[in-house]
Amino acid sequence: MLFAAGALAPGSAWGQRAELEKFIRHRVLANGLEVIVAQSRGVPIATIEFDVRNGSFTQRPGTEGLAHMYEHMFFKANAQLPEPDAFVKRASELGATFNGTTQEERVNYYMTLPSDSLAGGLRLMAAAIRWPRFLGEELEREREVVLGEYDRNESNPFFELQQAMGKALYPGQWSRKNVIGERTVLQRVTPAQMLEIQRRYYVPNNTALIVTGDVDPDTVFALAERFLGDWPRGEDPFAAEPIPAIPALASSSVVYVERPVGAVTVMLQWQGPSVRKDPAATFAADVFSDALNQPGSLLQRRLVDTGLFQSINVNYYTLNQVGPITIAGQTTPERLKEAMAALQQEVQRLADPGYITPEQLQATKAERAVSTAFGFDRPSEHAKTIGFWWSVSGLEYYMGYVDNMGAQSLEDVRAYARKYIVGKPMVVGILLPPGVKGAIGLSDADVLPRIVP
Amino acid sequence: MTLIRGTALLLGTVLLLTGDLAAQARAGAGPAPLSTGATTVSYDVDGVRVIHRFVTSGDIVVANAYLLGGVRQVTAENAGIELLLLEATERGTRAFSRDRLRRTMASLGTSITTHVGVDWSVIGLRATSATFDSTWAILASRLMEPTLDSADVELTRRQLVAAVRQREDSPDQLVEALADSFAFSGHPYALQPTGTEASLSRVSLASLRDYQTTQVVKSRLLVVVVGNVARDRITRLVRASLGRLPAGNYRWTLPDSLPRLRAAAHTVSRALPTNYVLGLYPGPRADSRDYHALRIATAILSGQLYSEIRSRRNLTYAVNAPFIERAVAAGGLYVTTTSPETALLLMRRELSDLQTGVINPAALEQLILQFITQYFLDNESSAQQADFLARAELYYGDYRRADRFVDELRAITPADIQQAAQRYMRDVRFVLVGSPSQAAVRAMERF
Repeated sequence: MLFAAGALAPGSAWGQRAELEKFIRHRVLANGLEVIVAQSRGVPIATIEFDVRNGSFTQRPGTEGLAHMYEHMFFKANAQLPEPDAFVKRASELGATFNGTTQEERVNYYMTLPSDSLAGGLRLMAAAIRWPRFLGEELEREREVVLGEYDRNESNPFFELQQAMGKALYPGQWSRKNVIGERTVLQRVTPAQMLEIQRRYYVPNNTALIVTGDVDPDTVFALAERFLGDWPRGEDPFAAEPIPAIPALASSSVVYVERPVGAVTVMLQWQGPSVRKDPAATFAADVFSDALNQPGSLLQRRLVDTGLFQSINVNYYTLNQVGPITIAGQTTPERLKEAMAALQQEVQRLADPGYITPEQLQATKAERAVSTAFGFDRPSEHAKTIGFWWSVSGLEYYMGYVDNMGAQSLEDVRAYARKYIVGKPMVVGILLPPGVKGAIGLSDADVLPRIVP
Repeated sequence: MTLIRGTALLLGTVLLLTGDLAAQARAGAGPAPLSTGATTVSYDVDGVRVIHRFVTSGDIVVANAYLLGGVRQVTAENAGIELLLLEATERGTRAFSRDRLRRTMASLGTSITTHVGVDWSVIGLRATSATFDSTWAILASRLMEPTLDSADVELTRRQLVAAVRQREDSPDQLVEALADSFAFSGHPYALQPTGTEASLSRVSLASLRDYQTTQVVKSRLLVVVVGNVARDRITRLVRASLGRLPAGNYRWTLPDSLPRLRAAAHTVSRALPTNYVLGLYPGPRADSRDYHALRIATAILSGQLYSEIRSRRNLTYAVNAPFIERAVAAGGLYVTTTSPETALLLMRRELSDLQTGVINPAALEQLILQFITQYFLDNESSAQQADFLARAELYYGDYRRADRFVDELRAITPADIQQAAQRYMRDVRFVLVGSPSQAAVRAMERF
């Protein structure tokens, strides 16, 4: 399940593959570009999206934040529109709205416009992805904008907590998860670095074009061939430079972030499954999270209904390279010690028989049946959903996602909890007001599990 | 209030000397109706007003019960009471004990959500056609016969108070929360629909129960249903549930105009890497022709601010001129920047250009085209359509105006836009969270 901003959980219903195959068409061009079309005639607009397998996971130390910097440069001058702001002006002429996002394992660029402007929009997007110029002056100026984004992130205390926990959860490989990057890296960014990212990753065989909305699939395929068919295939970026494995966490640790906040945030994180190594566990992970987030689950009743926490949320963020498992909650300074003890006690029970009941397992399926139906209700968001899964796990994973979720048994879910959570090294993060730690005498022993692996 | 656009809606250079725009703007084709194949009707079920968009494609149903009045129903003493009520109802009703309610919801796989705003509160359901009736029964029971057990209310209250405290941890949320109260002091819109720590703490169990009895009445309700469900079925469900509520004597009207106070600045010192600046000014009521004119004027100004302050001067990641769509609109100026003085100076210059320059008709035509795209984007989903229908009915007096929205935008002339900019975009009252300098304060006070 997704945790980071920017993409939606996939829809779900039993027999989803058959349902999806009714309206999703897929073709691979000779240069390796995957073209995916999801037709929906509800409103007369179309969404064009490029997804590139880039993002923080391709970043070595010293390059943190460059994938995101590249995303900002996508909408700048290119060989077909060499003037600054020309992309924006052309998009305005087309009546288009557009944006891009960068995550750990994908970068996406999307544009929504009247469906009768599809050809113009695709031509514009194709020029941007194929022929960026990375003018030095534009890069310098946009760098200041990105630093402004960095300032905003740093103004939020939760950002600091997440960054500190990420460093602890991915020792030695934080650069692979650090999407916003490092300020010092951004301050030294050069056009040559952008060109290197383009050469390695912005090749058709590492990209998908996704078009949703009021479109005819055959027309989309023809336009894709016309504007992108002669885009030269590149080397496989991951054959030339494989992504190194994330080292396993050796022991548990605690991160305290003291800021003048009004509530205490507690976060436990574990290294979760990787799609490429243990896809079955990723399905079990989502069922597990859904079951525990039900208000009637043991976890919620013992931690929220008792007033120890104001809320508790369980999540697994699906990634190809070690997605994090997170349990996060809010409590008060007065109840923090008691709440932590109770939380750690519950964590030790998560794989126990009966902790998740057959009824709760069944309920996760019912919930997914409804969310599937709603998942197709917004074609523009559906493009982002398809793009995320294409990038992280491949289209096949998405097509079979809900059916595989439905096949999970209670034993599968318990096995997942045993393998990745119960008794496993974790990172505990606490965001709390200054002075509280000393005032309540909080120590690492109070927040770590009693049995430290 | 949305301060940062998810997608860019930009105009490069709007202000150029040109001729008349209106003729060109009106010449464009009208919009296609939303949800091809859908029909929308309105009817009364035993005193409950229902707007029903029957969509035969798909299998989903969205049903929202709008409890009208919003912050006009409360005072500074009990602001947040309606949210407390709606949230506490999740913990049990006379027909559904807490555990039964949760078990039933889980087995259905459906959801019931709540939201409070300045004009109304909403409790709504998301279901499939097959699960609609059962989910409706729970929604109606939550509204009509909540248990409001003392311990459950206290637990809910603590959750809401914690949420209020946490809201202030985010500078964006803090600046938003402060902006309304600073800009519109004396008007109900100055109140927080989610309440404050003090107001939530003051609501007694007795007053909450009394509020439920006296305020959950048919005359305060508007039900909007979008989805694959027939009129007979909706009629049957409403008649057996909300139709039995007391009638009450509420009558929806547009609120009084917002007070126009002189430009001023309120600052909150926080050690942050940047400054969060939001200024608000009062706009027209929704029944004014100026309403859409100001909507377009803010979009033009947004494009200019983005182009000048972000793209050309690189002083910010986020700059915007939000249009705050309420029964009485407000407009805003928003930026996060380490150079507030310069950014504010540029904002003033761009604002002045809009008020005194001439609008390029071709650029405006493009903007309208982008508006149409955005309009369809904003109405892709059933839930969005339900809200749009409600706004059309309550703000503009007729749900059918939802389908005429684009035509109405196209009817706005450059003169309308400029007049709206001159009439409303002034007397801006700013809130700054960060490191306020005297120069920044003076710059804010000059609007």
